Formats: sequence, structure tokens, C-alpha cells
Amino acid sequence: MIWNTVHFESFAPEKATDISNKIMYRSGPSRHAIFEADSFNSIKNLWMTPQINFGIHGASKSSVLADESTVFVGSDTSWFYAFDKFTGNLKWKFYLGESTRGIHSTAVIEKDFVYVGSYRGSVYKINKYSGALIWMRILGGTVGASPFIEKDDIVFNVETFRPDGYLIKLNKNSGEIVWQSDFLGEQSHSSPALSEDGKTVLVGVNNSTVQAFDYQTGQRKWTTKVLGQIKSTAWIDGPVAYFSNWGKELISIEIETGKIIWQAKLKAASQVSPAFSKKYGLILIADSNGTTYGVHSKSGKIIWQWQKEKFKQSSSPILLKIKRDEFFLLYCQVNKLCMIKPENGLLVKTWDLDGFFTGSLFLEKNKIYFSYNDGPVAAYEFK
Amino acid sequence: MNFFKRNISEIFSDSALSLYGFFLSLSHIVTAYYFYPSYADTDGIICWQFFPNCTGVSAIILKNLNPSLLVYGFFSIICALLFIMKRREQAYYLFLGLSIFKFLVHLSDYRFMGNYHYMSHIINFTFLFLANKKNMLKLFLVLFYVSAGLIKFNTDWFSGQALTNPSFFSGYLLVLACTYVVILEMIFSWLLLASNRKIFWFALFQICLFHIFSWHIVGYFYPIIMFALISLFFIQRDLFRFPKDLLNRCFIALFIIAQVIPFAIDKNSSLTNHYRVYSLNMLDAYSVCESRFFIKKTDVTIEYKPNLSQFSVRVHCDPIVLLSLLTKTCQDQASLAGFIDIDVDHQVRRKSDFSNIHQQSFANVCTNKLKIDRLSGGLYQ
Repeated sequence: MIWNTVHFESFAPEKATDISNKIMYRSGPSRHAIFEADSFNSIKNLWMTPQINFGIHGASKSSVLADESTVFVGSDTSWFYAFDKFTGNLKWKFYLGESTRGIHSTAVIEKDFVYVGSYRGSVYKINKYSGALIWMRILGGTVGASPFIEKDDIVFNVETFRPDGYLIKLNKNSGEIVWQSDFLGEQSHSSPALSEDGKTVLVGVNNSTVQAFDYQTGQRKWTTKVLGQIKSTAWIDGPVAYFSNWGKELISIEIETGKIIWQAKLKAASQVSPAFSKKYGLILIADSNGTTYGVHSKSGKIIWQWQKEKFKQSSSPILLKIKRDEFFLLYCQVNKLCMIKPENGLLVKTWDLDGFFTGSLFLEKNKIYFSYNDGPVAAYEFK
Repeated sequence: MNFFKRNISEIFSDSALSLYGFFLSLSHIVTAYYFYPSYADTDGIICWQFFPNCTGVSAIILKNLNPSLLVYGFFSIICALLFIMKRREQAYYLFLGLSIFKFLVHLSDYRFMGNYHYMSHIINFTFLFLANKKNMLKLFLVLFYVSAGLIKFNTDWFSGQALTNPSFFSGYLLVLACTYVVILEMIFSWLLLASNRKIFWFALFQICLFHIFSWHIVGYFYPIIMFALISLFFIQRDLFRFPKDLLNRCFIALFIIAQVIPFAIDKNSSLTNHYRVYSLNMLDAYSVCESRFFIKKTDVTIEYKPNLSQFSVRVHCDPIVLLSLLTKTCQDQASLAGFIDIDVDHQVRRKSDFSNIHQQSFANVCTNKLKIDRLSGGLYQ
């Protein structure tokens, strides 16, 4: 299943000018999708690329990431793209070989490199300036979830065809295995998350469990059964993690012990990753029918809920900090982006989009980037 | 006495040998049937390591192969009849021609590689050219089995994972059957040379059972060829005498050395195929491999996985095959805009062994061409 690392560096990288921190799915290993802006009133389309996604599968697409000059995204056709952040022009692209669903997972950007997994079970380290391959490694059947990077290591969630899966930690420089966890018992579509103290990796599994592993050794710490398959990624806040699942619930779970603190009942299954507003102590979650909920983080009580229209919801919200206030940004209706006040669920603003998306938004300063599900990558400027 | 006359005389002065010629002619008939029709395309020619520039000649052979096979099959039938009718020179020279034809077809393209051809060539050569034919033929046949047994000492074989097609045995029965095959090949096969009739027939019966059983795994061709080759044991019962002739002993030594060398030099030769071209290639290991071509263009890199499943299990991971695919890809890509070069990574392991991976990586293989070592079959830049 796991083959040796393939090393190549036949293009010399350009001189590094990047001073960016690590950029990854939901902003970081603890998956706090928190972004800041000065204001957010109107949005204007800046550019759109040619179509990159062709609806090859119906699951959530790979999300866009951006550094100081480039927008990076994987597509459902197995092409990985780098676009100029200011014009949308193509800089380079890399075809990650044939697979049934192309690139599902969101990449990681760190210094001069991009790390990305393919749905055919391979992971790649690519020079982010030239698109040259540094190393690649076949890890298993499929890599669909998004990795995280912490210091010198990168953690992937790998699925096998048995069906089963495992977590694997690689050295980001050499691609060598640091540890491989025990088998999870089923495939896992959830992206692994790291506790804020850097000690525990959490992942949701298709056998309706949350599993925790020691980050240093890969040893399993605990397994907790929940009501349904977990497709979403946790939001970690201190000693607690929040997961949604197909059992129509949002749960709060203690990271140290695996004990479920509370379970909030939803009307339908959910595969949306939650967003958390610390200021209001409220979690935003949505179910697969498009109902949006505000859940109290301490008690699990549903404070508010609404549904503007019934539609298949799989895009995950982010938390937007504007000056001293906090809002949720969510794809809450067909072809609409919504800004929501956490404390009462009030729709502050909605903006019309040119299509629908299922990944996670990427915001930077006054620009927002995402890829449409059956279409192009788009950049919008907001004021 | 003329060399050829000597050989003809030895064959036809012995009714068993002339009858054996009939059975060997049958093997040519089956070979013609097996090869026909040939779908080997001239675009995909893979040259043997000895003839790296074979494509011109091989293309001619392949283009005319199908009609040639019909002629080959027809004359194989004639040859069989000639042996029955004891038309000495005609049978001999026609058999020589058929054997040369088969050898040339085999050599024209690595895709025709097969153990059954290798053994047929040795037996045909012995039958045609070596003195003391009966004893040499018997000895070679036994050495085939012993050599085959020796290379099966690995977990892939004993577990049954080396089988290219599933057997109707499974679990412990399969392990038992695979273990039995090694005992049969390494021990019982020697009993084919026994003077005791009961022991001899016991061994021959086991061998026949083995080939009949193998039919459902390897198909019809291999067992039929083997039955043709071992028919000698059915048709004559002279006591075996180890050949004393120096030349014959040299040939035997050469054969043994050819079997031993790959494993003496490279313990991973089942994976690397180093020096294996001179030896038997039995079902000793089910190799699996991953090849990646990274096609580099000015603003694009494409990871391309060549289709190795079009080749048989025995050759699909061989360096020769990889080189051929790379050469073709370089040629195809060179005409496309923005093309720079290709990096390649090739990893091979036994199906059941995840820890021992043989890996080779090469950069810029189009400008800095890969070459194949004519002796070992290994790749280098």
C-alpha cells in the first residue's frame, strides 16, 4: 500500500521571498476558520479563471488557499493550479495523475512549498513558485481529507479500499514516515485536527466514532461512539472539540478523555464543519437540508435556527472578525453568501454569487477567494 | 562424419528419439496455434537487452508474423508426419527450420518472453545438436524442475500469492499444495532418473498430475508444452547414465550457472530482473510495481502512470519494459509544445512484502537517455 518517497528537485526553486506563515484548510491545525476584515458591505468580482471543476463528484470540493502572490487550489479533474492572485492568470499547473475524483483535499502552504493529497492515494510536495515536484509518496487508496502541518511534520488522513484508513505523519522535508496510526476501522472523510496544546490529533470516522491519537507517537488515546458517520472537521476550542455528524447532531467532546459533554439535536444529518464565535459563545452549524443553527457552546442548547430554503448544504462557515465584532459567513442559500450575527442568527447581509460552492471560503484582508463547484476560481473584493 | 549426419543418425537409429521428434513437432503445432493471431503492434516493440536497436528488424517480423505463423503451423504438421514416416533428413532439417523460426519470433520482441519457450529452445537445441541425446534430454528436463523448485523458496510462493490466477484451493490447502509443488520439483523430479520402475512411474505420475492441475491456473499452453517435452519419459525406459562427454558437461554446467547467477549476484533479482534473462522465469514471485513519469513542460507538470497491466505479470515490472515505455513517451512528448523533459520513478516489490521495495529514480531521461546493461538487464544513465 505505502510505497517509498519519490524525490525530485530538477528545477531549482526561485529565491524565497515569502514570509507567510503556514496556510491550510480552516486556517490551521486546530481548524479555527477565523478571518479578519475592516469592513464587509459590498463585494465586487475581481476576476474569474476558466472552469476548473466539472462536477465529477458531488462531495465538497477542495478549498482555495492563497499566499502573498498566488492562489492555489485542486480540482476534481486532478489538476492542481496556481493562479496569480491579482489577475487570475495561470502561473503553473500540475496534473496529479488519474483518479476517480481528482483532488478532494485542500492543500497546505508553508514557506516555499505546497503540500497536497490526491484522491488516488498519493501526496505531493511541490515548489510553489515553479510547480516542480520535490517529492511524492503513495500512501494508500485515497487521500480525500485535508492535512495539517505543524513544525517539521505533516499529518494526512489516508483511506484504504478495505474499507479502512489511518492517520500518517510524514517529515515534510523528506517525506519519510514519522508514524502511522492503527487502522481506524473504516474510511475517514474528516480532516484531522490538532488540539491547541499540540498533544492530540482528533478525527471523525465513517464508523460513527471520534478517535484521538497522541501527536508525538501516533498511539490511539481513545475512541468515542456517536450517532452517525462524521464527515466534518472539528473546531477545537481549548479542551473541547465540536463535531457534526450524520446522526443529526452537533456534539461537544472533551479532548483529554473523549467524554461527550453535550449533544445538540439537529433536524437532519450534517457534514458541515462548525464555526465558533468566542465572543458570543455560540457555534454555527448547518444541516444537509440548509437549516442553520446557533448552538450555545457551553450547554449545547439551540438558541436560534432558520432555513431560507431547502437545498443540499455541504459548505462550511467561517468566523469573520470586523473590528471588535464577530460574524459568521456562510453559503446559506442557493447561490447566496450570507453574513450572520452570531447572537441571534440575524441575516445582516446576503450577496448573490455566480454559482454554488461546497468548500470553505478563504479571506485575506479585503478579498475573498473560493472555487465554484462546477466552475471557476473566483476572487471578490469587498468594502 | 558430418556433424548433422551424426545427429540424424543418432535420432533415427533410436525409435524412441524419432518418436520424440514427433512429439516435439506437436509442440511447434501448439506454438503456432498459441501465437496466432498475433496482436503485437509494431509501435510497442520491446527489444531484448542484447539487441537494443531491434525495432527495424522486429517490425518486419511482426508485420509478417500472422501469415508466417500459418506457414509455420502447416510445416509443423508436415514435420510431425515426417518423423512418423522416418524421413530422416527431411524431418531433421524441417525441425531445425521450425526451431529457428520459433527462436527468431521469440527474440523479435520481449513481449513474447515466456518460460515455456525458454525450455523448448533448450530441448530443441539438445535434440538437434548434442550427442548422447536421451540422457542429456532427461537430465535437462529434471534440471528444469529442480531449478523451478529452487527459486520458489519465498513467502510469495508458499502462501499462494505468487499465482497469477486464483486456484480452486484456498487457505491451508493452498499453502499445502504450493509446498508440495516445491517438494515435487526438487525431490520427486530426480526420481524420473530412477532405475526402479515403480519409483519412476510414481514420480512421472506426480509430475503429470501437477501439470494437469496447473491447467486451471496457467492455461492450456504451458502444460501441453510440458507434456510434449516430458513425453520422452513415456516412450523410452533406458537406464539413465550421467553424460561423460566434456562438451555435454559444459552445457549442463552452463545451464546450472545461468540459474544460479541471478541470485548469487542480486538477491532481489526477482524484482530487478537482473541476469534473469538467461534463467528460468517461473512463478517464483508475483511482483507488483508503481511507475511514475513526471512530464515537465514550461508551465505544467504532468504525472503520468504508464499502463503496465498490458504486459504479463512476469515482465510487467522489468527494466526493459520500463525503458521501452519511456523511450516511446519521450518521442511522443518531444513533438508537443513546451516540452522540457521527463523524470521517472520506478518501484517494485513482491505482492506480499511491503518492506522490501526496490526503487530507481532518474531525472531528465529524454536528454540524458537511460541505457540498459546488455549483460545484467539493469538500467543506468
